[in-house]
Amino acid sequence: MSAPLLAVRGLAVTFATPFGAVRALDGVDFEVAEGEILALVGESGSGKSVASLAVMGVLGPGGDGTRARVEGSAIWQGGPDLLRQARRPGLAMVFQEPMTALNPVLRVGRQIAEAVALHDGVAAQPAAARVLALLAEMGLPDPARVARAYPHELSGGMRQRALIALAMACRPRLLIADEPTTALDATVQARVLGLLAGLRRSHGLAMLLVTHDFGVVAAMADRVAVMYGGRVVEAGPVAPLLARPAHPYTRALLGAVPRLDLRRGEALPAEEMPGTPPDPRRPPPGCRFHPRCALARPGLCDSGTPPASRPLGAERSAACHLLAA
Amino acid sequence: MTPLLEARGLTRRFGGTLLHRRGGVTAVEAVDLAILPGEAVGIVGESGSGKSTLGRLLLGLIPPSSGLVRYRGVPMAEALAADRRGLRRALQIVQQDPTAALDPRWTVARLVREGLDIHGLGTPAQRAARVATLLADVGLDAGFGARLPHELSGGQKQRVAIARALALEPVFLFADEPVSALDVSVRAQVLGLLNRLRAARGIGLLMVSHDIAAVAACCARILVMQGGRIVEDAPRATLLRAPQHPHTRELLAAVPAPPAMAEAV
Repeated sequence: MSAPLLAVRGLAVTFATPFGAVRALDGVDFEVAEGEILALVGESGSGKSVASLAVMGVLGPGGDGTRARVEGSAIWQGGPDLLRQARRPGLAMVFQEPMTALNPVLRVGRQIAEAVALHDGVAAQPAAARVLALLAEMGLPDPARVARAYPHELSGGMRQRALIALAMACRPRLLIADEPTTALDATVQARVLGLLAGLRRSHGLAMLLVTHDFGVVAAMADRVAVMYGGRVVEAGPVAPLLARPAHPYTRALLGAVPRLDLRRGEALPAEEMPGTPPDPRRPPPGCRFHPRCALARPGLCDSGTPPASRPLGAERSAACHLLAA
Repeated sequence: MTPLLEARGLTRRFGGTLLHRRGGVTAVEAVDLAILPGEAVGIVGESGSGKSTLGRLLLGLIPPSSGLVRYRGVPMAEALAADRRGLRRALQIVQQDPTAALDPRWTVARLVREGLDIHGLGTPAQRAARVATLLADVGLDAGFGARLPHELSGGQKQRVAIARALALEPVFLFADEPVSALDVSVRAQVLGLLNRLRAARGIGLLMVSHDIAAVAACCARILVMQGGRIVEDAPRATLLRAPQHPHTRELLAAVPAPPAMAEAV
């Protein structure tokens, strides 16, 4: 088997904060194959965004004086370690809030042209033609008008398409999309997800899709890594993992999603998971989920990092003391 | 039965000038609606469909441009003129962003107590006891009373906002996107809490959300809004099983949902 496009091993991120060192990401492993969509799914503070920012290399010193220390490795096609490279060609990123990701005082076309000129090494004129082609490819009607517009003149869905065009201007092999549709209405979300799926098909684009929404995961991803408290607790192909989650956290999280049974016209009751996600400043010892876990066994789950075991075959892994025992 | 709240031809415009109506936005247009005491009604729609504006009009927080709202059969303007304080007590609101809704410099106990102080309900000792009871009702132990909002998680903040709304024993609660700022696991907790409180107190609920599943978890009747108008108004089962309006069908089809879980491994 050839090397995966991206292989992340032991990725850890520690922030120096006024409250002391906070380990936001505590040794995370995942892989993305060529043309594959891997979803990183988790709740706030699970570390999913920090993982994507570390791979992208944009975890600079924070405005509040926090500093990130990144450890581990992110091997690109079996070759260079991205974490040790300042420039990371092949990667591009799409953020959740296109209004803050785009520069409000520059026309959209100029912002995309800047990326085109930089990456293709061309002058402004041929860049302008590619900008229009990119905007058209993103399904924007009247690309010329969008190129002339300022970000505030576009709707949320159009802005997100413009942002995806900006990312695609770099001709990435791997697109990192951090909650790309969370700020959008449901019908617009469905269309933007359709656009991303189309780009994967036409460009063989791989994607690291960061989301908290299992509906988006089910609709888009090939594989999923579920994160909790800065660690990956379960990983595997989407359909079997969603149908038969192995880790108690995955099961509880899926159970907490309100669902509709349209055939019967019923709202299926969501199971309430007690407690709150762990405070990264004071993570619980042992399995990070054990204080909320209905199955937790004292003396076992409250000490030691749970090892990733493969209770359901080679494709799937879960980090749970009970499954490893 | 007299409706608790009733809207007739309710319209609200924003912006534009007196002479030139163009340029303004009609957020709510010609809405007729009746909500019975104790009823749980949900409104779904996309951003800008007018659902939050309709809720604020029904509570009398903003005046309509035309049309009217009646509270127990009395026009809202008259009801407010006669007993503004009583009306504000009866109709309460829980907003989307609990961080913005809570004064960051006030302790949880003071935040929950404020309404009791303003309305002069009970002796100071009784108010303190009531705050403890309210916090317990929303699943927060008494120690939370001394904390400041920044020491709480999003879900805990939303529980404080709900406790504060319940402090005045309202007959009606308007919950404007109460769970959309919360994590998945916390969302289910807050929806469950709203259901339990409603069952225990029999208060009416108007819940606005872009998330049909969240609305359906709490409300037996669902309204769909588009462009300021109610395009469908039906019992939950009917709306989910046989949606009539194309926009309802579009909203239901657009919700990505994970497949059902099989039994535990």
